[in-house]
Amino acid sequence: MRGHGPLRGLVHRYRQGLLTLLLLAISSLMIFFQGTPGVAQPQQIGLALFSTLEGVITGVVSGIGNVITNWSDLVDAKKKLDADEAKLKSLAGVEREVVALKDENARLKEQLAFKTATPYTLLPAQIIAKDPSRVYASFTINQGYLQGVKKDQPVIAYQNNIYGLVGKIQMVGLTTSVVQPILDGNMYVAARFQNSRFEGLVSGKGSNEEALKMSYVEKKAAEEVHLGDLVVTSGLDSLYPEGLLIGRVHSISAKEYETALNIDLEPVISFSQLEYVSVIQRAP
Amino acid sequence: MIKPLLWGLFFLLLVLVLQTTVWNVTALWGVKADLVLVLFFFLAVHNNVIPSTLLGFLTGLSLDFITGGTPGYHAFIFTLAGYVLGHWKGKIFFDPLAIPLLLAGFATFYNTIAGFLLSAIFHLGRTFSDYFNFSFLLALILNLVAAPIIWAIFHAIRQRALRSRRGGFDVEN
Repeated sequence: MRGHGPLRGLVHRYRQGLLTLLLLAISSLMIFFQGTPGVAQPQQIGLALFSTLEGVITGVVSGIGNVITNWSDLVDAKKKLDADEAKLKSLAGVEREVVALKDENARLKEQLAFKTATPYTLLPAQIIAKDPSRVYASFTINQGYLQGVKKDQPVIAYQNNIYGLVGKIQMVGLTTSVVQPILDGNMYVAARFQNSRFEGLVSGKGSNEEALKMSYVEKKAAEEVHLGDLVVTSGLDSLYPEGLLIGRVHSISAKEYETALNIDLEPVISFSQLEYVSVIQRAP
Repeated sequence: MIKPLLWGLFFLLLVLVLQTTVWNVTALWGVKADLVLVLFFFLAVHNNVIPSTLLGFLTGLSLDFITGGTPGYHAFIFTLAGYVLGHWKGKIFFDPLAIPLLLAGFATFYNTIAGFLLSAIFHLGRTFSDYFNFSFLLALILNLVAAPIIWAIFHAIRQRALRSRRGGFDVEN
């Protein structure tokens, strides 16, 4: 420490601990000031960078998958050519293609029917990445600020001929956005039973469990609520339009000392099978 | 110090992007092996305190960017882990199976416990059951399964880098 002051010597001696404390302090401040515009901005820039990369990788992987599929088809075709079965092979190839096209057509028709069947202005989106961690359940879609996506816009999906609530836009990047699904423990949706009209609050039960719970349902509803009953958005939180399907009653329980029922719901949307969603840009 | 940090960051970011995209196909009941966490622990335990701490901070920050969760959450957890693991450099003899398994198990427990404590301290709205549930057990098993494979790949790349004497992960800071 020749030529250095005592303070500099001290800093040098404890540099590891000081650096760690500094970085921990920065992290703590970020947690503490979460949600404020000044802190959210770097996260959005990071999101834009990462999601662009994710979009590219998803595209490349899908492209490689197609190449492998095409390559294996070519190998098959060659074998059949050698066996002098060119015509049969060609027909088989066409048939496969037709089946694939039929599947794609059915999916697109389903999406189109959904879009025309709902009174909302919808923006279709594809899921390009899912959260790497276990605690958060968010996923990234390929539509962002440039396509008109805004924070807190509801996200829905069409599955098995019904449309249901998926979640809301949590963060908007330039061309991608992060969706916070209703499965998330920090999501709360004002809801009511479709038949009995009793109201409550639906929230997630954790990141990866495909289950929801409904709280603050009056105990007198116990006689009118049954297993399998549908729960829809009530529209009272002014975030989600009224009448969007959320889930079905899976179990009902009540403790003597509590004034409300404990209701577990099964979401109408199968999140593990979700590939496409739609952002509600304008409700009627 | 810069070279191992940059190499480590490069590999971690690469794995992070893969984990959010192609790695989703390996998910069981929505849970997948946390490649970034396990790889970070392997990297940090082979580096000194300062590069490990910085690597932890930058990796955590990247995770915060990508998750859309609480900013600073992963940065805090990974920075602290980097600081502790940096002190273990040279004190652990790695075999191909037992130590990677132990380290992956420790990483999973640390990540969960630290996350729960951080959530409790900063009132992030996460409950005990959000952390300690069936997903935790499944994640533990998947991380243990993935650990020897990640270690084998990491070890092979590291040996190659050390042999070439042009980088690697063991450069003194």
